Amino acid sequence: MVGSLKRLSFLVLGFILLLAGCSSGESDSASGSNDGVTKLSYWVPFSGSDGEFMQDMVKEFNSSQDEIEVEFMNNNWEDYYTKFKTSLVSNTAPDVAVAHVSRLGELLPTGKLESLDDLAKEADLDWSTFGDNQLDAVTRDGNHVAVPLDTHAVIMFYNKTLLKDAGLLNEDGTIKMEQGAEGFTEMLRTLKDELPEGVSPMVIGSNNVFTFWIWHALISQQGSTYIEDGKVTIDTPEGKEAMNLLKTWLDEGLIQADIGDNSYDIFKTQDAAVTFSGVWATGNFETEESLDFAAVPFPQLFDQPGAWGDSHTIVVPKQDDKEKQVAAVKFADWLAENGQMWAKAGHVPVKPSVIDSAEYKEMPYRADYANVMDDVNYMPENDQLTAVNDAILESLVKVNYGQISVDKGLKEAQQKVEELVGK
Amino acid sequence: MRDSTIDHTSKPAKKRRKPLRNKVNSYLAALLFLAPFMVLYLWFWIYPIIKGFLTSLTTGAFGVNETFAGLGNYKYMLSDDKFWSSFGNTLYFVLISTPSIVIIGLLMALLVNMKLKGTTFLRSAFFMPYMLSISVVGSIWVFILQSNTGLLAETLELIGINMSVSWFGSWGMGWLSILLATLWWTVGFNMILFLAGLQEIPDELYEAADIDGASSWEKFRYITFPSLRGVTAIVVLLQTIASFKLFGQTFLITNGGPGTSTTPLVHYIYQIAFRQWDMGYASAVSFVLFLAVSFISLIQYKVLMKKEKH
Repeated sequence: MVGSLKRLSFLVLGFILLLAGCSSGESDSASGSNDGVTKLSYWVPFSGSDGEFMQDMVKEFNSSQDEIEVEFMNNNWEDYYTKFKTSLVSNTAPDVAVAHVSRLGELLPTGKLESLDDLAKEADLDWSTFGDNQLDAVTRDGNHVAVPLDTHAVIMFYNKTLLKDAGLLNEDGTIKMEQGAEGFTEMLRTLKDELPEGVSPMVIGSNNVFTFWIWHALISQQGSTYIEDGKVTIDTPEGKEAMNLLKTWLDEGLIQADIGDNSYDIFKTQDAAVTFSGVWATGNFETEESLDFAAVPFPQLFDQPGAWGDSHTIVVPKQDDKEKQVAAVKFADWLAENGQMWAKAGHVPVKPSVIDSAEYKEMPYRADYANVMDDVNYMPENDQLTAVNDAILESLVKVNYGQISVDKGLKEAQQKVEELVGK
Repeated sequence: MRDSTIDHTSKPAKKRRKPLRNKVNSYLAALLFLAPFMVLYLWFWIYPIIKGFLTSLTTGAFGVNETFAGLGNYKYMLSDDKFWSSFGNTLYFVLISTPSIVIIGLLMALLVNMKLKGTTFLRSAFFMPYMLSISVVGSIWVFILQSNTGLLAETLELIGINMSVSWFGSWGMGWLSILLATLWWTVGFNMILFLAGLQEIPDELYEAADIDGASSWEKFRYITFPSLRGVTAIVVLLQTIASFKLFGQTFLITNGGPGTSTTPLVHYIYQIAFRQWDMGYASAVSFVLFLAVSFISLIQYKVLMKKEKH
């Protein structure tokens, strides 16, 4: 009896030791720089089609030199920031990671991201080789906090065949329409009359985040935004004007409700003539050979050009191993420098030299919308931005579905966001 | 080792003290056997509950400026419209889903228990969806119901019916879509439980009833139904708890919309925790949900089990 008890207690002890071992075992693997190779763990949120392009770039980087080896870890976009922010707070972050410019406002307050200017000097990174608009977006109090990688924006795609059949295509392949919101709407009305049965003049995600992105583009074209110097400016004449336009399109059947993420497929299968979509859809659309389309910047419907957009950037979490941090910045600069590879995914490269390169210019479609990078109006910086955007979208979708009026919807959004920002 | 034990116990002087020693030893043995479970249980179950409660007493952004706030979060909850509306949504879903999924589960169990041709196929067909993950279930139902391009809309169009139903576009249709998806996904589990219950009913009872000339309805009413009471109690209890935890379906199919009309409590907790980064308030709401589920389950258990005793 005593013997078996003793054996059992050894077992239990062993089990407990094993459990205790689990918690501290993982950090050893990535720290091996003893053989001259610096290993970097790298997290990205590219669960969409752009993931493969990034993976190719990492492979190319690893084989291009033998000092740094990057371990690529792709994450689901939906819960990427849940995971990444949690890892920052709990000091288990990767050595280098992708973050959107718009999320920096939520990530920086953790105090766990390294400011990059000293590291950049050691890594020979020259900030002047980056686009101004994108560099501004990663500068806080004169310091660079991230290395921008690209610009991505909502742009306009149109089906040339359908527009031509409807008599709306100019000789040079541009759309035949009057300037401004009224001209654009009129063009859609003509499309509605001319297009065959079952083909929609335009598709946009009327019940997903595209509604918010397009609303933001339209208020930015009127010189407005939704949080300015800590003040919430949603319930404004500009906000209403933008939403009224979207509502008009929906009410007249120029766009449809309930499209969601399906807008890509509807456009691809030629069941719609025009769509506002992300630049990342380009790589998807061009796989359909029968589709003759054009990709151009978001149309100017109000006083000034403007588009919703964001940038992927590379951030370097704080850690003791400076060698790794320098290597991370070198890797980031390499990614930006080789932006033509990343452009295959549809994103606009961040370095003007890449945009001017022959290789980029030869790529179909990309050059046609590349100047959108100057028009992009980034979202306002706020540590509650995700929740704020969710709240606005919630109300805008209610308006789209006719649950509340435009006035009421914007008033509701204004109240919710004021509470979030004031919290 | 073993030899020495035998030596000890064989001595007559020690023999008198054996009961006590044995008792201690068997307690010890039991404790040691339980220890691995207890360690995991305390670590992954009890500790998070305590930690969750402590977190619910804090305020501030996750990892930035969390400070002690006493019962502030609970106080705020009372005046938070969105908390009440999502709590209402959860209760509404519990009310519509529990009876429908339980009753349909029972009907399906009766059907596959009839020993007709093809019941083996039906049985697996009914149970199959339960093995899918919620992400798959969500994608399938969006694929089917999406207006204009969904499978249902396209099929109807093929046979000449051109009606565009906006399945996710209103309060009622949104809930109907979620109920349909949940029903399809989970009803197989209830069916299996009922089926097990049905097969435990002795055949003799039915034979006796046949001799007495009972109709099918009478057999169901007086034999099947009463015999299933125990199973029904468990199915209702499990279904209620499952319905309280509704999240994946609304998250993937309607994203809680339009507006907030299909946002249940767990969805709201997710939004507070991972979109607003307010762990304190999210924990507080979770705790209230935990108490509500415990309370309702307790009452239900008492009521249903009492009935069974009669």
